[in-house]
Amino acid sequence: MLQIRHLKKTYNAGTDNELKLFENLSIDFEAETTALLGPNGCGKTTLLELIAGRKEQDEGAMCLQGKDITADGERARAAYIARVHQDPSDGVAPSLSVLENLALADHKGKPFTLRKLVRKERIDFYREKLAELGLGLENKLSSLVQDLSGGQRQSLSLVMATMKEPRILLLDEHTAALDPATSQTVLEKTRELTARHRILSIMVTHEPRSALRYADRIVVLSRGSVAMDVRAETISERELLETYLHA
Amino acid sequence: MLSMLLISLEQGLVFAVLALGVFITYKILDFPDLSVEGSFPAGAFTFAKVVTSGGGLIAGLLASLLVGALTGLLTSTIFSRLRIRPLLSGILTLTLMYSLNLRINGKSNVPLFSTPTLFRENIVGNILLLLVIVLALKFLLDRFFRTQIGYMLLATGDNETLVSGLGEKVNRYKTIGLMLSNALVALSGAIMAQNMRFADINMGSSIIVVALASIIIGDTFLRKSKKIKGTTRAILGALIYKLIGGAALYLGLAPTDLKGINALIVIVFIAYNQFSPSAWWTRFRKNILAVPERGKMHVADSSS
Ligand SMILES: Nc1ncnc2c1ncn2[C@@H]1O[C@H](COP(=O)(O)OP(=O)(O)OP(=O)(O)O)[C@@H](O)[C@H]1O
Ligand SMILES: [Mg+2]
Repeated sequence: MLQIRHLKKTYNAGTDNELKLFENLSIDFEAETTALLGPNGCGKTTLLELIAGRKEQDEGAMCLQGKDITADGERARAAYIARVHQDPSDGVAPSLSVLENLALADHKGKPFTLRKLVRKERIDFYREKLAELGLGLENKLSSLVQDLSGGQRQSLSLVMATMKEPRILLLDEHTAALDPATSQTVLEKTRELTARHRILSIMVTHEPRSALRYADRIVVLSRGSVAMDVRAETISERELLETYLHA
Repeated sequence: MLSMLLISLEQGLVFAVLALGVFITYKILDFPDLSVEGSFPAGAFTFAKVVTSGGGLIAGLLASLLVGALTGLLTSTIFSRLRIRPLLSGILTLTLMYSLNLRINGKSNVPLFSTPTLFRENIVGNILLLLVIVLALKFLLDRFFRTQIGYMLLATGDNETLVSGLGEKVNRYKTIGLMLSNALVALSGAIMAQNMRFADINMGSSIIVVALASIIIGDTFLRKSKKIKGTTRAILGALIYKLIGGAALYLGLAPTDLKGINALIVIVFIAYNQFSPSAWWTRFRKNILAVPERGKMHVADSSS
C-alpha cells in the first residue's frame, strides 16, 4: 500500500557533521501493524518524519495506493496520516483542556472558520473514546492537559490521532512513557483500532516482546538499511533479540 | 486627587485597548512583537489624516484599524517569508513605520482640536464610553477565542507540531494573530490621539513597555485564581498601571520621570511574580534567623 523507493537522506550535507542516514532504502508497508526496531540513532524517527512529510528526503519516491505522494507536503499528507510522537507533549496543546484538545482533533480535515469549535453533542462520543482506555480520563474533560501525567497525555494523543480514522498511523515509541499496565492497555487499544479500520500502522518500539505481541510484521533497521523483515508469528522473542542486539 | 484618579482611569482604559492587542501576541502566540511601536502612532496618524481631511469619526477609527492590521501583516510577512526572527521582524517594521508615519500627514505632529472626537467635556461620560468600548472589545475577543480559528491561535502558541499535524499552516495563524493585535494597538493609538488632541511621532516610543507592564501587572493580580480570563487581566493591568503612574505624578515626580517609572514598575512586578512570600519566609527564618524548620531536626547545613 505504501511504497518507499530509493530513499536517500543526509543530515548536515557538506559539513564536518555530515551523516548519511539512508543511502538507498526501499521498503513497502501494508495495511497492518509493522513494528520498527533498531538501535538508537538508526533513523526510525527520521523515517517516520519523511513519511509524514515533515522532513524532505534528498532523493527517492513514495507511493500510497499507487498514487505518487512524493511531492505532497506535510499539510497535504496530514489528510490521511496521523502521528503519535515520541515526546508526549508533541501531540497535544498543554494550555487547553482535554475537551478542547479533542475538539481540535475532531475538526481535522475540515476548514477552520469563525464557528464555535467545541460542540456539546460530541462530548458523549469523546467520553466513550476516553473511557475505552480505562485511565479515567473521561472524568477529566475539563482538566488542562498540562496538569495531566505524561502517560495520560500520550493516551490522549493516541485518541486524538485516531479520532478521524487515518489511513496511516505513525507511532513513535508511543508507549515508552507509560507504566506497564497502561502501556499494555494502550497497545491493545492501538491494535484493536488499527485492525478494525485496516489502518496502515508503523510502530517504532524498543521492546521485542511488544513488537511480537502487537505487530503483524517485524522490521529491524540498522545502518540505513533493513537488517530483518519477517512476519511476527514466524520468529521467537529470542531470535528477534539476537538480531536486534547485533543490528 | 479625584481628578488624578479620573484622568488615570481614562488613560488606563485607552491603554487597556493596547494591552488587549499585545496580549494576543505576547501571551497567546508567544511572539515578542515590537512592531506595536510602529502601529500605535500609525493608528494615531491615520486617524488624524482621515479627520483632518474631512472624514468622520467612525471612518477615522476604521482606517486606523485597517492600517494597524496591515502593519501586523508586514511583520508577519517579514517573519514567515524571509524567516527573520520575531524580534528583528518587529524592529524592521517599526523602523519602516517611523518613516511611513511621517509620510501620512507630512509632519511629525498633527494637532486635533476641532476635529471629530470620542471625547466630550465631561470626563465621567468619557470614562463610561471608553468602558463600553473596552468591554465590547473584550467580549468580542473572548468570543473569538472560542471559535475554530481562535482555538487554532491558542494551539499555535502552545504547540506548532500539533497545528501542522492537523494539516494547518502555522504561519496562517501567526498572521491572523499579528494582524488582530496590531489593529487593536492602532485603534488604541487613534483613541490616544483624540485624548491628547494631537498625533505625535514619538507617542509610540517604548509603548511596548506600557503594554507589557499592563499584562504583567494583570498576571500578578490575584495570580492564583484560574477563573480570571487573560483579557480581563490585561484590562485590569492597564488600569492599575496607569493609577500607579498617576500616583507617582501626584506625589510630585516630573512627567519626564515617567519612562523610568514604567521600566521600574515592570521590574518590580516581574520580581514580585517570581517571588513567593511563603518560600521567602521559610528561607529567611532558616538562613537569617537560624530557626530550625518545624518538624525537622536542625542539622548544620554545609551546602548552603
Ligand atoms: N534535525 C537533525 N539534524 C541533524 N541530525 C539529525 C537530525 N535529526 C536526527 N539526526 C540524526 O540522525 C540520526 C537518526 O536520528 P533519529 O531520531 O531518526 O533516530 P532514532 O532511530 O529515532 O533513534 P531513537 O531510538 O533514539 O529515537 C541520529 O544520529 C541523529 O543524531
Ligand atoms: Mg526516535
